[in-house]
Amino acid sequence: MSIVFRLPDLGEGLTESEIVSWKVAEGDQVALNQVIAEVETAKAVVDLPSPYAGTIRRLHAAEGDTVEVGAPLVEYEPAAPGTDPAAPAAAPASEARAHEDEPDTEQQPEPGSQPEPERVPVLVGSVAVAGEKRAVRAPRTFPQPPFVREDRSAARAYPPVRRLAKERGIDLAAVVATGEGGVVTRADLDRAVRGPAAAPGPRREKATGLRRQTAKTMTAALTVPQAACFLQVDVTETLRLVRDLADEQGAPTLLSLVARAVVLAVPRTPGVNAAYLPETDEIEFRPAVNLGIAVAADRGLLVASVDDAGRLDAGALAAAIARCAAEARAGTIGMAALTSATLTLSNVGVFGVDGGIPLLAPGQSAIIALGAVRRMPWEHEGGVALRDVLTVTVTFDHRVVDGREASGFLRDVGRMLERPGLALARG
Amino acid sequence: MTEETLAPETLAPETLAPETLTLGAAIGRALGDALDADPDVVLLGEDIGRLGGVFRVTDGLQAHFGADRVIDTPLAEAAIVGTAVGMAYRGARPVVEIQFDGFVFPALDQVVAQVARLHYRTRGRVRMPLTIRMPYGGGIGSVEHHAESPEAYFAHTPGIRVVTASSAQEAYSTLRAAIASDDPVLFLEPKARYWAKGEVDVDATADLDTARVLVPGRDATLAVYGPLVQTALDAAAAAREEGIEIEVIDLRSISPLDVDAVVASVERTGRLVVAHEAPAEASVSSELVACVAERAFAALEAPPERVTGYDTPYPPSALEQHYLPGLDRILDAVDRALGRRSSRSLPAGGAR
Repeated sequence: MSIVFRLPDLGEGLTESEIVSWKVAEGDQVALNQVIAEVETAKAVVDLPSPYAGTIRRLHAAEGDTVEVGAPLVEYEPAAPGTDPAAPAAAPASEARAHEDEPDTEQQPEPGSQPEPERVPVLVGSVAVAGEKRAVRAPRTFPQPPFVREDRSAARAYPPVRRLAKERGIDLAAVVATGEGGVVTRADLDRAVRGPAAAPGPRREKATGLRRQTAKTMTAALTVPQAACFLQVDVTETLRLVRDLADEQGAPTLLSLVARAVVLAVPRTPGVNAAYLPETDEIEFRPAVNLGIAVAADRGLLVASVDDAGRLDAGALAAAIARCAAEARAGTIGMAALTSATLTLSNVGVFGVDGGIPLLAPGQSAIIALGAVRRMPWEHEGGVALRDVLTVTVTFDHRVVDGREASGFLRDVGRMLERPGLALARG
Repeated sequence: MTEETLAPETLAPETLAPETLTLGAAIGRALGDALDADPDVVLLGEDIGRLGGVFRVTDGLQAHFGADRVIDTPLAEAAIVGTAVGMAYRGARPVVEIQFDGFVFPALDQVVAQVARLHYRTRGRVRMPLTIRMPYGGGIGSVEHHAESPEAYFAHTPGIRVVTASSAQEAYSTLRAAIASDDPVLFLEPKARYWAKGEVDVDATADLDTARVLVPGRDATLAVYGPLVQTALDAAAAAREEGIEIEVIDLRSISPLDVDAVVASVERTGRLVVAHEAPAEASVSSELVACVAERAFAALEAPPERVTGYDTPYPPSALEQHYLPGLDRILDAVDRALGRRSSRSLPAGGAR
């Protein structure tokens, strides 16, 4: 049994068409809708699909022939009944399968490769593609490495930010995005570098210079067995003296008057101006008070010495303290003045605190701290009055002096500050 | 029976299995069903009546519905569309056929200056439920003016929908929606696909403004419409052999563009390739790439790629296969979008 397929009416009202090319040869098996020929009408070259599945028995025209509409075109041996008409033919003519879509597809598909069924399983709707040309890529003329799918980061960022992240070695996915639509911004990268704002990590910086020196000195200081005692002193009279003398040349200050009291008290308790020498188990008593003044400079803590402070009156002491403090802050002070102190005075009251327990400087047996002057309700002449009160603390080397002596020294200083006239008797 | 002689009408819709139609026949079925369903529907066009259309799309309709509903017009596109405007004013629902893409330009004035703005001009009092059917696209070996893709001219014009179809079912459902719509619609028919067969469910409906993901994929988004949809599906199948998953989106509507759908896809894939037969300059791909850059810039892993006709007049048919985006050019663009080697990385003058 055979079937003759006659040239159908292809449109445009034409009565004949030219066979441009055959896509099949006699003896080929064809699938339903497989393109069997290109035919030309007045306006177009069109592909002619096969209306049957089967074997081509005879082609009734040659390429270039003009065929009347309705004239025999192809004679088929139909496929066996029950054959799925949409199934591709078992052995399609390979020369009919070349792409016409592609200019660059002179090459045939790889020899031996069977065309896939022309029904792509992912299609939706009813796009039946039976009879379509096979989707085969032309062989590349250059080597192409295999495709490797890279996991896409869920992070979103504009290209300059991505580049910045790459340069800084930051994983965008690990950055908290604050931009609109969850986009990582430059500021987000900066924050990522600094670490999470909520829990700032420790920051380390190298201890150098004076900081390092202070660390060493204070560590050494703690090797000295030391104790402290303190005294609250009504300094109202001393401050009155400061005010009374304020207009004079070389006026004293509270600090210089305290220093004066310290210097005057030392001879009654020489152990506070001494040093313990552990190598020889000796105590060295100093002949003069080189009064160290603790100075908080920008670069750290310095102790500048006013050597032989006993030779200076309160006014001269004020000037000497101011001068060495200024030199210490400016960094112009000499090394000798930074190492020669025998007894140190630290005015921590300038920082607004009531007092503190200072640590001994190596080679000294005592250090005195002054707190801030407070206006306080205070017993005065049998009643309570607002008085100016200062806390004085002394830390002492317990190898050199005991609490009794240190307290005696502190009381001597305190009394002179409460009653400055005592200094007349001692000075 | 030793020999069965087949009538010339072998390929006509009536003799195919009931549910399987060519795209062209599906359009004819949609027109017939619309004429049947709505007495206001009237067809106008050159050679659509007695001849049945140069592509046989309207074959038999005049004989069935009469010459006052399937009207043969003079060869005068401006007059055809202008007549349809007047008929729409009087309550008709005209469906106009422009015989070929390259012949639409005389009608451009009517479309741009009247059809697209009457609703606006009359503050909504006058609707223009006009459908303009037009075969477009190349690849059929035709002479000049018969293979062009002028969709961008119309997409640029506010007030008119521009849609296309890629399969028989799409053609049927979308054309029915276009005719039913009270908006003017330019319905573009991919003429190279007129003979592509597919199952058609005449009860299935379609809208006029959404894109459709035909193939899901993780690696790149390939947005196409009309005649290149099949090429894109082929490209996706070929790429899959290399392990590359291309997500194929049939835009369906050219104006308005379903940017949401493409943006959602690009958010998944990070890469975009747009292909169409029309030249690239000021084209549908220009608009789509711009919209995606505005909306999904941070999601893009690579610059968007375009595969289009060249910025030349449509070439003589002997050269058209070099002009039209094909499977290899599309896959080359996918390779570029994926950061792989492509033909462009070859030295100038090298083999391609």
